Amino acid sequence: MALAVSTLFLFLFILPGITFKQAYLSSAFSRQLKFSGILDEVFWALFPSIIMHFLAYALLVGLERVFSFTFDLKQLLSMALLQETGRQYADIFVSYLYYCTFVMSVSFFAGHASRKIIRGLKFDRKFKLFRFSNEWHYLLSGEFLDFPEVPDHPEQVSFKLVNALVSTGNQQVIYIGELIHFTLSDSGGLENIVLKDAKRRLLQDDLLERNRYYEIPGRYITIPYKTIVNINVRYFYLEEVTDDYSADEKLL
Amino acid sequence: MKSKTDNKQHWVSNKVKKSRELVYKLIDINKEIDGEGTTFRVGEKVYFVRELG
Repeated sequence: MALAVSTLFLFLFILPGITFKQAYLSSAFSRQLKFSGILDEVFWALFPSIIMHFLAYALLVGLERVFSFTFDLKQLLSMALLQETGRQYADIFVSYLYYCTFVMSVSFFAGHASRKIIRGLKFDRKFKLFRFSNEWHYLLSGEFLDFPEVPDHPEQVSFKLVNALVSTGNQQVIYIGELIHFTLSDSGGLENIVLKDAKRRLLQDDLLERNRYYEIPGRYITIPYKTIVNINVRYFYLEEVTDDYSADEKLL
Repeated sequence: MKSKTDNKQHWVSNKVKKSRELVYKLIDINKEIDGEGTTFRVGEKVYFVRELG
């Protein structure tokens, strides 16, 4: 009985770490559901837990002073660790549960805040250590241009051109158009891409004629990722310039 | 095709409203766009485009 209760206490102790991790990785582009090994999972549950307990304890001390109440965490933990009977555990369990709920709430907000700070300071673009797992977000949003190894900046992107080879039945079609939207799946992959003013052609018609693409009625087309064989994304900087060119000058 | 250093070019804004004609033009010339940049005309307007990355 005591062993079961101790296990429950231990589980509640590491739960804030799991809460922090889930909150930190809760956005679509950072969702990480892959199991990365038992040691890794235990480490990334335990390490944030300890930090969250310290943070929550510091907050509790501050709240004690502001609201004039007393909460003796040291006594609570020693009682939780040293009690021998189930009855004695029951006496302190509610207090311990209150404390764990408080720590988990702190962990939840700390997780979300940490992600926003990392994103706000662009640390995930500058340092691989902070990079989130879903590479599609960086690639399709153009933030990939902010990686240290890539020149130019995403702020310069004004046009994203996508070539997508799509399998339809027993034929393959190339769609080309402006990428305006994409959705990421719950499993951390890509779900759909939305192209504006797209054109298409059959792959087998490649190089057969000069004007190979034909227009698609309507301005927007959604392509499910599961039908895409491969995808090519190009980023362009586009500006309108004053018309100082005479009509006979040869421009493209 | 003109380079970006051409002194006839005056930068207006990169917040370009992309009409269907403009997108189709970009699709048509996309193979000729590189990091150096290209100037092209759509109707009465002239645009400069260069590839990033």
